[in-house]
Amino acid sequence: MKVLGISAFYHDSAAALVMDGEIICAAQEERFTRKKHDDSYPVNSINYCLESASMEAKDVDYVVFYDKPLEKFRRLMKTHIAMAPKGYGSFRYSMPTWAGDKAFQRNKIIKSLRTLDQNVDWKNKLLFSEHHLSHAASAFFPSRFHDSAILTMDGVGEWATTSLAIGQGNNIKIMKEINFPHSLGLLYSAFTSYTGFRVNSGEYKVMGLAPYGEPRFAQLIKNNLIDIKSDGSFRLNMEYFGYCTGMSMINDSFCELFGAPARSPESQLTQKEMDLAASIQNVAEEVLLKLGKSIAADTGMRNLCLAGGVALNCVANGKLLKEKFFDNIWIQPAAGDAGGALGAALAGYHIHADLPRRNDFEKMDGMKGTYLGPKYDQRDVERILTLIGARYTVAQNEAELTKFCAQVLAEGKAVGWHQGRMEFGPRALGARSILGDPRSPTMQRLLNLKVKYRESFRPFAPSILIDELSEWFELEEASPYMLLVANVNKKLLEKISKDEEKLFGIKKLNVKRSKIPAVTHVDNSARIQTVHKQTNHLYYALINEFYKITGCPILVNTSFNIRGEPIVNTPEDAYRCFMGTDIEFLVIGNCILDKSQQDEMSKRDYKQDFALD
Amino acid sequence: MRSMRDIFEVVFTLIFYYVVFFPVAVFFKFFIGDPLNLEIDETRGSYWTEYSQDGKQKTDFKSQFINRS
Repeated sequence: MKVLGISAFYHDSAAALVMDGEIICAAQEERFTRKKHDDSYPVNSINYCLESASMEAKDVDYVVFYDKPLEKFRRLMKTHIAMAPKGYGSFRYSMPTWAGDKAFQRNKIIKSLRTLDQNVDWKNKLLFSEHHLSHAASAFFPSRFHDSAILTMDGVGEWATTSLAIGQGNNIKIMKEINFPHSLGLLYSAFTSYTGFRVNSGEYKVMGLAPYGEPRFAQLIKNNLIDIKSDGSFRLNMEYFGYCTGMSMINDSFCELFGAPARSPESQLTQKEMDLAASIQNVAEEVLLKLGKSIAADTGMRNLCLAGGVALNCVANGKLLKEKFFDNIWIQPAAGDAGGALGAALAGYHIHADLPRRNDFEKMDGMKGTYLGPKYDQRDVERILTLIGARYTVAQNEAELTKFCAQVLAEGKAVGWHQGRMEFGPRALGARSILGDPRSPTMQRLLNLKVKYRESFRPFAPSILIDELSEWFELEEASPYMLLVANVNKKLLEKISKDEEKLFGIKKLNVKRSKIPAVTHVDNSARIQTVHKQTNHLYYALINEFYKITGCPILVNTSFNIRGEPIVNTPEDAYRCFMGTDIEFLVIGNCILDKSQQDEMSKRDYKQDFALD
Repeated sequence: MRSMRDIFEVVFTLIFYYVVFFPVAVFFKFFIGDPLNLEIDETRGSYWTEYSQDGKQKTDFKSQFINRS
């Protein structure tokens, strides 16, 4: 049986294909359209899935959409009823959109599916999962657990913002939910907005900013904005939020509470924003830890699966893991709405069609390292590079390739690494990555300012050989999807002078904290990716070569893009990014491109092509 | 410059909101109560909605998949 999952029309559209219980492929639409968080119908992702599986549209048994649009409409109406007469602004904006378009999403999807094959009875093949069921399915079915508690948390689906489910075999039961407008995701987004970042993409920056600050507003938040119960359930005080009645996350009362208007985007960050970030991170962690503790006690489950956008908060995840409420925790790498497409397909296959799970997950989970996207074979790469006028040499084999790359990395060069199948999910995991030497004290600044063109405070993640993990980090679990944060091992930390200890805020960046300063955040933590031979042997071999040369089994790994740009997909995207930044080498398949050998005319500053995120 | 369509939308939604929708909302809130459970209740032990306890069943997902959105 072949089930196609789709997510679309909100943000992060995607498609995924499940065949006989196996995840075959999945991709996010933004990677094809080059429009960050693209919410359009994922025609390119669907075409990719069908081509990748060498099948035609008529071969699809079910198409499962990741949520129920009419339930969302009901929520919208009830929200306007509850808020009347305050919500005219939002009503004025949303009603014409719903009346003209969103209320007819089913017809829209069917119409779009007919462009694939108009002779197929799509009406009877189209199913709708619930938003949080899709998230729960994306977390549980690919996990290695036969039974597990499943916690999903995001902004909002139809009604639910937080749900607890129990997964057993091929079934999932939703046990309880917290409903809109009470949402931890939206609370975090409110602070994202207040600190001057973009909602639905800047949450990651707030998390990265948090270690520069002190959580001095945490009690104020708990006293006024959120009531947290001992079991982790919560309600928000809607007097401070604007998302029910207007077009903004926060209102004047929120600004008054914190004593100033919201920070303007791109203006100077101050200690206050850092303290706000630390405070909301502190509150989010408190909620997650209380939820984890009560869920473990109430359900008796020893395994926990996480999904939903809040599950991308890897700092909170790391703390949850450290508390050991559960023996095992597994987090869906595409935890946001793109992963909903995969969850919808899995829910359709296992729950609707009542088909069993594959039971070959003894060693690895079912995500195949989340390398589920398009790949380009060597012939294609050479043809494309020749066509666009790139100058390259070809390594004769993988050993020659990894040796060369490891050498230039050890010399402090930045390398664009485009290999194999693209990752599904927001993190680059060694298929579409920019790599660097973690031992370099200047690498973080260099990559942020000259390669990524992004804020200097943002940390970079280490990719480490799984076998060397415990030597370098205080983490015992594998973290193949870069979703856990843990501290750098104490023995690797540098001594910090008294003057350096006194530094505040962004000045903390200038301190060399460990033997791997480029991946050590200001609180000595790191967002770790463990690299496994089974899922990415080439990346493993590269790091291993670097280890042989330097004695360090770690590389800096950041996504292959510039700020505001979706991660590169094709060799053309990679070449454009290479030529538009200070990356010194680009490696695509066995092709090696040296920046100094390229035609100067090919250099193009393309930062303006993308809106800042 | 606003198009005629924009102006029509503003006028129509304004009239619809205050003449039709608002009275319905008042009626709904008066007789049925707060549809969003906005109240912060410090005496409560939990804010979860438990499906096994309040009579709502959310466990049979096969029926949830019927092909309507």
